[in-house]
Amino acid sequence: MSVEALVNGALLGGLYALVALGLSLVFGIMRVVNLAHGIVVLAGAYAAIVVTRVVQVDPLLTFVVVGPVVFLVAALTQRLLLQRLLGHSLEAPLVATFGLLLVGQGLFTFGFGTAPLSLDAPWGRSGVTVLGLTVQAVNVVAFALAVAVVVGTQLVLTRTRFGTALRASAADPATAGTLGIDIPLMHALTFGAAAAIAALAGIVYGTAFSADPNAGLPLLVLGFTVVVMGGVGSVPGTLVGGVLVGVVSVAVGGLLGPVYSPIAVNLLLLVLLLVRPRGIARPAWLGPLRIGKAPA
Amino acid sequence: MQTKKSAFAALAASTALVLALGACGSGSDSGSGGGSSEPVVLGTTLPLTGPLGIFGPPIQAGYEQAVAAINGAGGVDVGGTKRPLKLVVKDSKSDPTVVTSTAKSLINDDKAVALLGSVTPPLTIPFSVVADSEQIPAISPLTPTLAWKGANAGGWKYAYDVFVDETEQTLVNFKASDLVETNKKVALFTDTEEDGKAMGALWEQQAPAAGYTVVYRAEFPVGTTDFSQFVQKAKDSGAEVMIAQVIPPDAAALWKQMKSLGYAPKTAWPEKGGTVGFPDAAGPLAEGATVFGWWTPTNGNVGGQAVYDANKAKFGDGLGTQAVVASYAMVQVMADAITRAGSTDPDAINKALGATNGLDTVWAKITIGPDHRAVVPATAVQWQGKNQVTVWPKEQATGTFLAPAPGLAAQG
Repeated sequence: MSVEALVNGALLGGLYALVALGLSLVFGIMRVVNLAHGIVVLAGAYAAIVVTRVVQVDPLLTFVVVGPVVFLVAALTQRLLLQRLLGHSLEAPLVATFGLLLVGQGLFTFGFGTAPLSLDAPWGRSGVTVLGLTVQAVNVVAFALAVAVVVGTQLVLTRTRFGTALRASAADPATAGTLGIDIPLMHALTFGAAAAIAALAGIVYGTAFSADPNAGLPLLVLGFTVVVMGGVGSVPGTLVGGVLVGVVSVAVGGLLGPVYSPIAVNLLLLVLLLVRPRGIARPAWLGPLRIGKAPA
Repeated sequence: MQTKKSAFAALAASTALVLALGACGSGSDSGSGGGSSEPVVLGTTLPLTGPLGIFGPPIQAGYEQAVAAINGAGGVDVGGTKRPLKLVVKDSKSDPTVVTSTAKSLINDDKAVALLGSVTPPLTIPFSVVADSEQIPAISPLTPTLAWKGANAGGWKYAYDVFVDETEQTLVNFKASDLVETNKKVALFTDTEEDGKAMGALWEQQAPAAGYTVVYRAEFPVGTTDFSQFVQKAKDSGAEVMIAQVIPPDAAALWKQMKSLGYAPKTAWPEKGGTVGFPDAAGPLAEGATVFGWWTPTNGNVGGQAVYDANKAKFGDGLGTQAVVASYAMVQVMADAITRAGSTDPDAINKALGATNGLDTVWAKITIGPDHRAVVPATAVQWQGKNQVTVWPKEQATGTFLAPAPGLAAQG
């Protein structure tokens, strides 16, 4: 195992963080486990594929169109579907998002077939050499985007009035509601923003690898792993979790063989849950872990 | 509250509907013995969705076109009476357990007198197990025959497999690589699925006799996304022949990472993963990727070119359309067996099927051996643009072998 490989793994962790961040936000703010998250990531990739078929631009530029569209669709889905189920029962949002996962998978299969489709960009198929280390350009792009999005999100959450309102709605929704904070609006904006970040992750994912309708579930599992490692609801934690997954995968793969990488990552997850059940960086303002029953 | 309950009920109902739609298939009535005018029901369970979903549509097209052609000529001769064929198609979702349930449903609910299979050992083996246990003849194309044979040590009784032999197939990579000058060093990338393990072992066994040395082998689980350190090791090993046995999404990721890290072997083989639709998955990097094929216009087939030409626009000039041809031939073989059996009795069809000898089909001349296999010769096809050109064997080649693989070797 080389230093080069470890650096590549750490940078790839940026993509893992991008995939996970939306999942973490939705759970942290809304207390909803969004089982459709992987499909939202794929939606970003497929939407970018559609745009690049119409206008031949760099896949990243498609986010100008894809981001707002995905944001809007997700925010509407939250308002028209999930908001009605929040507080109804613990299972309702889970079932709903699982239904969305299946519907999304079916729609993508119908619209794009089951064969993997890819976004093509020079940075998706080239390497860069820094200090004698050759790494994939796509991993550098992913990491840079992850840092930018994580820092931006954290700043919004901690340095703006909107962020304060969001944190209040997460920490104590009942009190926040009595203070005039529009909780349903906060949830819709959170869900939309999380989906837009997922779509961005999808664009990078589709450029680095490929998109196929069956990738939604593996992406969801990857997201969960990163979120739980980093600390559910923690924005910087997703970056820490992503890098950890990337580095451990590469290290174990290099030392013992790639067959052992997923085993090692999941063992590490179990150990972390035992010794630090809140994850590496779960913020105190989120309070204790609880799922569902947010106020409607 | 009523609204919430209604919304939830609607959602639950739609979820159930989605699940139900995914599981359902079409039904049909049974065929019967000679003298009847009822349709003869053939059943097939295909990977129309799921990870292997790319293979289902061309197989379905082949089956449907062959059935239509036979029915257009009056039907299949059963004991002197022409009877129409009826094809019932179910979606296996690329899932071996669904293969089993749908194959049983085809026999018990749709009253299929014979079954037509699909692709790869993970799907064809459970399909064949159902055929043997239910004592219904079944024939499959597109499944490497040694892995299929090896899955039943006692020998298959009602199931048959027509495709290439892996021993010959793995030699194709070396024989075709002989067309260009290389250092004869090989890097293998194989996943841990059954065929990945089996093919990897065969390449390692066959390499020395073919004059090649395997200098590096990476083994990884299906769904691996980060190949970078293995690509680096393969590059460091100096291997100029690279062979991979991976599923399509993994092949795309692997090719992108080879390009990013500057690994450009003289010949590069994304077996299985690069079979169909590889340019859509890997973009311009697919150019020059080579895989084994199983049909050429001049391999001794009868009528294959017409079937190939009729499907080329839809499934591409390459293995997608070759799969149509192969599947078409399976219906020809089954119809021939039914005619020779003179009945739709499964045992009679099974006996006739096993006696198939030198049958001219659109795929090749088919002879089924005592081990229920019919081996067709393997070829090598290379992605050149959106088409796959046959580059080996030389006497059947339809184009020139491009090496080093241009997609990986090109700058930028």
